[in-house]
Amino acid sequence: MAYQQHQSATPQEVGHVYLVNPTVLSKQFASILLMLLGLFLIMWIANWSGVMPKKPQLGDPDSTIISTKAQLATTATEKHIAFVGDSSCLVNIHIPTMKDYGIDAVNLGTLSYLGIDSFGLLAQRFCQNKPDAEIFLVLHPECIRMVESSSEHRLILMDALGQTTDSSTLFEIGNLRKITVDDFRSRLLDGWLPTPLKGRLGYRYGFTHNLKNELRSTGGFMEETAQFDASISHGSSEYRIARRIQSECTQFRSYLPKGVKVRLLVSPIPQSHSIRGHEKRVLEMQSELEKWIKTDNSSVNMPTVLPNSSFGTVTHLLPNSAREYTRQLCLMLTQ
Amino acid sequence: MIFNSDIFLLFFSVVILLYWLVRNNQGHRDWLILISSFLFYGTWDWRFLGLLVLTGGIDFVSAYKISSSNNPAEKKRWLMLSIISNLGTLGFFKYAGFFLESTFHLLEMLGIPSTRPVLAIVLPAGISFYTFQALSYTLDVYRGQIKVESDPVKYFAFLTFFPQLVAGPIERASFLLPQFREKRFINESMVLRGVWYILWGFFLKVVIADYFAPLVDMVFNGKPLGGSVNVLATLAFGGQIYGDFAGYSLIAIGLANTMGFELSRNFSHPYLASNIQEFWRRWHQTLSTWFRDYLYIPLGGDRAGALRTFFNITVTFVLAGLWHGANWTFILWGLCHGLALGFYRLWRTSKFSARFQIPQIVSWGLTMLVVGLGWLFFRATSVSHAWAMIQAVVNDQPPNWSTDYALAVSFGLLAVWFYDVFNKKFNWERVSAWPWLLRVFVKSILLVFIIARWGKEPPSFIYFQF
Repeated sequence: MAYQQHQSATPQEVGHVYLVNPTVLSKQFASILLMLLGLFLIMWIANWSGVMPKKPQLGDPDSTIISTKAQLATTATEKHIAFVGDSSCLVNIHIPTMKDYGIDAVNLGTLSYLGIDSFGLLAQRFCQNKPDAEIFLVLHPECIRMVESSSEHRLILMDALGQTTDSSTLFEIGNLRKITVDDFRSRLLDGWLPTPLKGRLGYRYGFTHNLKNELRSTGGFMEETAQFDASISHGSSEYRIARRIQSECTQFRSYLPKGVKVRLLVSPIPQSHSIRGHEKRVLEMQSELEKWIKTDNSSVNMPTVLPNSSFGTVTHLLPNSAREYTRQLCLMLTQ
Repeated sequence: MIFNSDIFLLFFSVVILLYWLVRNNQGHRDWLILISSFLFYGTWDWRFLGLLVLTGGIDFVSAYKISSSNNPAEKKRWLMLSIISNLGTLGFFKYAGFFLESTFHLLEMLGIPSTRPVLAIVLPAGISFYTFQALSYTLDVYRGQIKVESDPVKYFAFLTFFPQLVAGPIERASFLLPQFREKRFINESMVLRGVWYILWGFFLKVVIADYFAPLVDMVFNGKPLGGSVNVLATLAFGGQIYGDFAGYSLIAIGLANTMGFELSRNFSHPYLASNIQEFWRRWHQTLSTWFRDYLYIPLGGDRAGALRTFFNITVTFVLAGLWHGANWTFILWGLCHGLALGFYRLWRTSKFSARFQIPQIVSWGLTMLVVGLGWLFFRATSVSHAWAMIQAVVNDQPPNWSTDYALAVSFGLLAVWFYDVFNKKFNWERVSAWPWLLRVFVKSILLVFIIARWGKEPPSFIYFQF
């Protein structure tokens, strides 16, 4: 039909001719759409009825670290000392070394993006039924001056702690993608296979569950694999306290039961990053933070600057240096 | 703008709608293709549009002069201009830094003091593809194999046709240009075939290649790890590059089909090839036939004895390796394939091959060994990196996650095998005879996997860097 129409037009001018029956094509495409909708409906019903496999708390490295730390905070019922804080806590506090010194602690250090108030949530979980618990809040100067924390990371933590405040229901349109495509991906596709970690973490730990297992077996310690290079690591070394910190510190304290001791530890920076008066500046910041956190006036004064060779990045010590740093910390705590 | 992005889907939807509107006017159709191709290319770096127009313009004029002249010397001069313009552009943008750096290292080795060259040249997207397509046009006009195109809009629409502009298939003017000269008929089968190819293309890219990508990176982007992971990572890269490039080619063919155009097949289940010659008849077919027709045969092909054939094959493959990128790793990749094919030809023409029949499975294994070794060089960051990875296979302990790695890679390879076997058995001709509901079901399954793996920040295609 279309071809006949074309014959009557000027043949040289015609670009292309559609010899298609719109009904046939529409039937095909509508059927695909219907079949997709059907599949998603099955997903939705499976989700609603609880038939779907449990969503694995694994995925990207950040989620893996946060969810594992949430689990550690929940399961470390026999321990009374916990280190919470940013990634400098995660990679600088070597729990096996602490054990050698008779200190039975757990490292709940996560990521600076979480914010100090979120560290409080982890500490709160750890302190459940432990009125005599002791919390060390470990912060790096980079974290203290960070302008914003990430609400996305906080949500991951809340989810891992089972405190999700998501009020949307399965019947909301905005939730459709989550309970169909995203759940298909995370619960069915990715759940079957090991998920590789990206970047340096992948090189050292391989897959998310390896990282999770190693975090568990080392009491929460993670190794830094990079090597610090001062020549390419620029940035201001004038540290200050970001505005958000005060309210986050107050929030942090409010999560903890009365009687729980809190001590503050400021992580070291590389020699090449330190400027004149850095130590004094750290003491000033420490005193401000202690006021807000209401520590027990027993801050831990560890070195604030270490040689560049000890570092993997500006904020992270190399594994051997982390052991040595922890050893020094243990000596100080046991004195 | 890459195929596996939301913005491309939107772009193509608009183009296809406008394409329907301009169906009654061939001139408007050509303009639409040209403008959308320029827009598509301009999203990478609009500055290189000028280069594309300049080199394409030189080829257009050269071909016109070649066809209108009766003087062989003049014809040759215009051909030389086109060759110099294309290869000169390619040479400057792609190889200047490499050759200067290599010369510096050579002088350093000889103890001659020199200053290290500092060149930071941005490589225009798809330059290796469109220069080869343009070259084939002027060469074919020179050889009298095709009629010259006098309409610049048609010519540029052919040269920059957006589905295949940045990563092929490298089309011959004799095949694609005539399609622009005539009206195209778009029937249901063509549209459905196009959609089928697009879906399988996205499956290869989004589900298979992007699945392999982090597995490959975690081994190749660091110091060499020990044991089997290096071998597995090389196999994974073989899967990744196949999914990536064959996926791109299929999407390109499918997109063209929905617009009523045919593009050449670029891959025909290469990993099922049982010898290296067959592999090259199935892998990046449009590039291998380009090198065969414009380099290997002019060098003498197989017409001047066994040794000369061996030499011609090796030279052709080394240059094919260099075509991929300015790095010794690509040259070694080409050399590896060239020597393998050269020896295969020597063996096949010798009297021994008739006496000793190699079992097909052994032949397939040997072929994959060569292909795998080639991929190791192709993916490694340098020759020393590749060598260190080979040494580490024997000397170093594998990481503690090697079992998981083996599982993950095996699953991906299984998916590649499934794709190849399924599509070999059920090509479009057979699929089109299926009940329509079965076709719809398979398409829906593919679509579910594609949607589930569709990323917010989609990784680009490997061949875009070439």
